[in-house]
Amino acid sequence: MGCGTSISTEPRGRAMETEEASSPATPSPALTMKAAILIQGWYRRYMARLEMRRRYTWSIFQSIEYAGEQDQLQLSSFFSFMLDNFTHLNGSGPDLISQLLDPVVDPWLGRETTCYELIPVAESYSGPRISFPLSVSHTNGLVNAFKEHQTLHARYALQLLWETKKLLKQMPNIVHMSTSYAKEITVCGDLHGHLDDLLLIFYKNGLPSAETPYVFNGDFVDRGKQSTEVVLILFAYLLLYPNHMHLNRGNHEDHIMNLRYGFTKEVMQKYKTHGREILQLFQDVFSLLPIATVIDSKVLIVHGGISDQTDLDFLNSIERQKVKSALRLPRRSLEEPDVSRPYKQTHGPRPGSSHSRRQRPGAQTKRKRHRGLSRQDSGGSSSSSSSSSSSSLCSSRTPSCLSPRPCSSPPPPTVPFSVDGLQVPFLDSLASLPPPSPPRVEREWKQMVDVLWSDPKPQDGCTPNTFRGGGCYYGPDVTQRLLRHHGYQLLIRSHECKQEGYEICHGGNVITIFSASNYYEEGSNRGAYVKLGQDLLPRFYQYQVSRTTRKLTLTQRVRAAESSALRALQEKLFSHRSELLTGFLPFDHNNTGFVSVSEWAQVLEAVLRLDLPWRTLRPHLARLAPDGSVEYLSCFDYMGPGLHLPQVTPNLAETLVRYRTDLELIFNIIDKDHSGLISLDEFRHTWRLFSGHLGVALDDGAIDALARSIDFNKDGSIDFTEFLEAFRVVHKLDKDH
Amino acid sequence: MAPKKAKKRSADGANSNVFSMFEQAQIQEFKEAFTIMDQNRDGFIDKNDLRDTFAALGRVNVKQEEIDEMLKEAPGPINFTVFLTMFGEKLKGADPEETILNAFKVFDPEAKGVLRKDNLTQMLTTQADRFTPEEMEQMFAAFPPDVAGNLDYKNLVHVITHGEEKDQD
Repeated sequence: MGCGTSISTEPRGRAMETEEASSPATPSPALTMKAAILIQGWYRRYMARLEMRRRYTWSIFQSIEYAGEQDQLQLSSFFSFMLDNFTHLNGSGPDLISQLLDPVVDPWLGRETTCYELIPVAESYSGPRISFPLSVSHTNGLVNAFKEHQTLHARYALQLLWETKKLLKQMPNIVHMSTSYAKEITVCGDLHGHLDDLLLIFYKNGLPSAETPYVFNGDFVDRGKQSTEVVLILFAYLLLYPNHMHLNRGNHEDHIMNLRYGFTKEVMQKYKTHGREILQLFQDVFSLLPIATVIDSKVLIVHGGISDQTDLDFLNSIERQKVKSALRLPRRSLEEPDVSRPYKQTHGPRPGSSHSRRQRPGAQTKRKRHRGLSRQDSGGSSSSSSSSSSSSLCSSRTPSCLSPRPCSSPPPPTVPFSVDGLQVPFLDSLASLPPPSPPRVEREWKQMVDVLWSDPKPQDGCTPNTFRGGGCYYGPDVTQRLLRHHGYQLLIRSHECKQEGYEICHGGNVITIFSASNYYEEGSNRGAYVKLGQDLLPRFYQYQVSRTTRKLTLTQRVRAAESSALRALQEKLFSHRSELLTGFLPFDHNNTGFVSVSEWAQVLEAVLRLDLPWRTLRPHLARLAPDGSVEYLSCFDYMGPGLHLPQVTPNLAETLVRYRTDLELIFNIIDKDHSGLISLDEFRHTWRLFSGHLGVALDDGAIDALARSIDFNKDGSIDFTEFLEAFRVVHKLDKDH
Repeated sequence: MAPKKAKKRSADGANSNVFSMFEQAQIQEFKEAFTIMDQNRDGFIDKNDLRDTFAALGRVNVKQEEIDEMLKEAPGPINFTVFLTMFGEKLKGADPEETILNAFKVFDPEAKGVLRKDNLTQMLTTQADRFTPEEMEQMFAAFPPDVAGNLDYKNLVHVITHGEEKDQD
């Protein structure tokens, strides 16, 4: 079609046939151009809006993720507190919490060779079997078995971990590699339990071997559902090829992070009988993972990054396994004298009382006996420094009701914080968190935290990483200085999710490599790995695991990710309902239920501190009145609690929603026999402690009534999974299904 | 955002009276958009921010000259005031469906409701604010023509207009 004749019976010509410009039906060039301009502008605007949506969706996910990591500090201080004030919650059996959190005594001490050998493997077990020394057929077997969703028997898992621990003990803190042995070294970033991504990497790039050496840069576990499989495969290859397979520790190779972010739960679910032992060994193995890898004395690979204080020589000299968790300073040795200071007594828990997110050294631990619970002195001084007092842990995210004191600007990184003791309400009096560790221990800990938690920033300088609550933001000058000092030319790190799986910054000095695709949501990002040959020029390879065979369009992906992010945000709003309402009050004296858009945005940012474009997001979060003001109660319309129990007041519902994850963790720990049930007494007690620690004013009577109502079959025990399900926030649209 | 259109705006340079052109609420909204574009959060949109934004919009190989030209139109580094002057009007406003449909109809005088894929390509890539081949590809990926090579532009317009409306709910 489209020949240039002008016979009148032909259909009228199309615009581009200028030979027919004389025909009245053909639009003039001017009109054509005008139409083209309109269409081009309109379409580009649509694409620009889509891009904006994609960006703020990303911001939402990232903000909530980092805020959650910060919240972890909250929980860990509670554990410290529990640990220091009583050991048994159940009255029988070894101190479970100590075992999980901070083993003073290695339970396997003196039983080194026989722990796993005692475990029988049933004839009927059809999963993979391994023996030592490992061979390629064992690792192949493992990979294939995990592909088929089989679980490695506890006996083999324990043996694997035990062998890994032995191997790692012989390794230095900083491992050196060379490109002269193989063509290229492959560096991978965070996997976070994404087995599919790991298998995809192996498929594209080859299994680990002498010809295909790998460095995995931390964060193998948490968040994804197959953390166990991922990490066992990595350890198996480590044992098989100790010279060609290198693992760096990440900030999630940390038993306290694991408590919150899913690895602990996953192990407990997959290993009902031996879960605790396995977790104990994981804890040891994680703390024995090397901190850094250096290639050809030119490329430094660490999980997070550096700070202006980072001293690699010092780091190489410390006993890395002493730093079990970034979230707690290593315990002081028990021989050190107790620092005694008087503690104060009040009349019971005060809401919003002295608790602050920022951890502070306190006075002597309270040693009062109460309700049959007693502090078991494992010898000498009981004042262990289980609280983290370094200013490396800082918080800008303290909600207004929990911290009457505003956060002052963080002190310089090397000076430990020292204010008067943190008094925490405990039943009917107060207890204090113990005094700080000596300087050397603290320095070691801070150096480790910096390397595992820091993020690069575009501006020069080094500032505390308030977003994450640990480590620093380091600028190009900091990177330059460190690289130059050691004669390095490149820093490869991970720790941050990137849209394309990788990102280059600091003028090419820093590469971020992230290997978990679809991290936030299906379609949210690609994964990548980087290869370095003898030229040490990075080559990037990207991929994305896809659940569907049909490829989603950009619009569909953006929309899916956006709606997921918005739900997460709506849940956040719901779980901070009372603080938000308190915040709106000064702007709405007459209680009309309306405030201006600016005021609304201001309050949201002040309470949630997520640094998000609230005005742009407003249409998804709240309704407008005809006069343009925001009907702020509509923020909470989207969500509601799962069950309706009369004892659940809005205040209680909100608190339970907000701390649901934390409560789940605590219950999981208390429930020693994994029955899913805890006693009413345990429930009450734990709840009271937890709310006392938070400084949340909740009526004891309300908790009691709640506990009794949850005990559906009146046998004195609570199915806490059911209980928690009741408080899982449900999107109102879901409920209709 | 059509770079050429920006020319007439900023020739006189940034002028703080620009703030009086918009309502407070609008300015706050633009501030947010500015922040979203200012990737490295330094308060300025520099060529890296611009290039990243273009890349994210599918125009991966924006020539340095094009970016420099855009930046040249601004009196200095693009801070928020300059941004407002240059781009403020661009960010708001949705074209009514009718207007866009009529624009498409210019190329479809018989009102068939479809356009030939190659004709559309030629029309959009050879004149006015030319689309790059990548942009055309992106459009056809999102709104694929049928086997015969015809694009249902009515559907395209409808989805974009109403899809957006639905998302703004």
